Amino acid sequence: MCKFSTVLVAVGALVLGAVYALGPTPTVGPNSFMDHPKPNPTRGKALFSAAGCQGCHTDVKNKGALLAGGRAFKTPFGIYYSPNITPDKTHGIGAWSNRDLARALRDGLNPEGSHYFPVFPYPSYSGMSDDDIMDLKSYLFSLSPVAKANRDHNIKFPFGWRFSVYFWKMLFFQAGPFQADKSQSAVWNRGAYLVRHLTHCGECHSPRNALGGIDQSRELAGTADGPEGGIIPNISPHTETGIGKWSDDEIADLLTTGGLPDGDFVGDTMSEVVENSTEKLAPDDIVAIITYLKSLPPIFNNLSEEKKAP
Amino acid sequence: MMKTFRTISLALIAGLFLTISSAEIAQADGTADIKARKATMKAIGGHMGGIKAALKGTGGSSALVAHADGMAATAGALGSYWAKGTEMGKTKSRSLPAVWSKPTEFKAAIDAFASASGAFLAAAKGGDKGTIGKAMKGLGKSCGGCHKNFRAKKKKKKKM
Repeated sequence: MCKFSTVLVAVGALVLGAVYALGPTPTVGPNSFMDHPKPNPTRGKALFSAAGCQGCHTDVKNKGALLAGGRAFKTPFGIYYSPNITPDKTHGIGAWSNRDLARALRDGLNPEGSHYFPVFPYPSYSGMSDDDIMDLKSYLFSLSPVAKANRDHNIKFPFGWRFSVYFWKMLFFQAGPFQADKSQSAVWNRGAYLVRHLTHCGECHSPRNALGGIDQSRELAGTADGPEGGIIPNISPHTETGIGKWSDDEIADLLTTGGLPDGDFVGDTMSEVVENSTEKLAPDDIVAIITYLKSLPPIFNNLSEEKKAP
Repeated sequence: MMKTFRTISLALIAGLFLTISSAEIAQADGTADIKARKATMKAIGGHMGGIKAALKGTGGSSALVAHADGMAATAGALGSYWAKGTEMGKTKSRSLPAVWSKPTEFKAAIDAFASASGAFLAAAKGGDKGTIGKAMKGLGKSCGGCHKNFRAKKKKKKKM
């Protein structure tokens, strides 16, 4: 009996080893991004707000410094604290090379090569273009460094084991820059790039499975268990349960002012997103987002809090 | 004998319990106030809908001023709808405990809305598009500012 379990463990280890060896290879090579053309920090600033870096990496509740991290994220897997991404050389990302940032965003790896937990939405950011990553970096590095140490995550066993993220990535992570769909218009492709990658709408608005992987077949169909509790609405173009009845103007109003079609104004996490990100988008990008959202398959997902009449 | 005694004491205890809990319910019943504030918020939302439509041409400038006026007047009275003891009632309320635990901040948020809606009314009367647009932005921010800190997120009802 004892022998049998030993064999089992040995076989298990072999299988794990084989899986690891055959697993996804990082897309950012050892010499990538070394001689990238001169980046544009002005573009970087626009990318910074579109990507919404500020919201998660600033501990607004406790009046933390911009991008110095420490905001808590309570998830089913434990509490995560966002890290310092100011250009401080010790506590922030000030010592990072171009490649380090590219690897973080595109492959979900830290400079030492270990895995980031997907609380950091790199599965979305992975699609960012080379230029966008480098322009973003030049803007981040133009900001003030803050010497604030990172706080350790408080994660339940076994999710705290960074190695386990490797298997998560195998199941749910597709690395690599966005590939345009030639059968669609340029506006649609820009919208797809924004929604799926840069503004990462799906990180909150798409339902997740029990392992925290995004259910891509139900893109943007909303969820009753949002990242900070509560309902995240269905923004697929379903007429009854999504935003199928919204006019283009109404979607634009929401993104630029936080106003809802019924005269209400968003108040919780989305008001932060509007303030930090969507209200700063260029008018063309708003049009692109609307075009993309309206092209998606409508998905029935009733998240309304009112009880339906029998 | 013993049995009767037990029954009586049980009844007494139960009675006591009922009295306490019904007294508590009566004290914490904000049903009427909750309904009133919901109706008031809906009225403000309705004016906002009218304002948005007017800005896009429906109803014209007289409608714009009328709705701005209605909103500003309602904003002035808004603060009185969250009296102490109206935290809970038979109707669901999304007002967060912070409304009552941080009265200074809450008052500041309500006042911000009152002044933003006043500024919007002035802009609407003035008729300058740029000023109206700016005032509209400020108005939206003041709405969101209060909703962000003092209104609970929507939660899905658990199926029974």
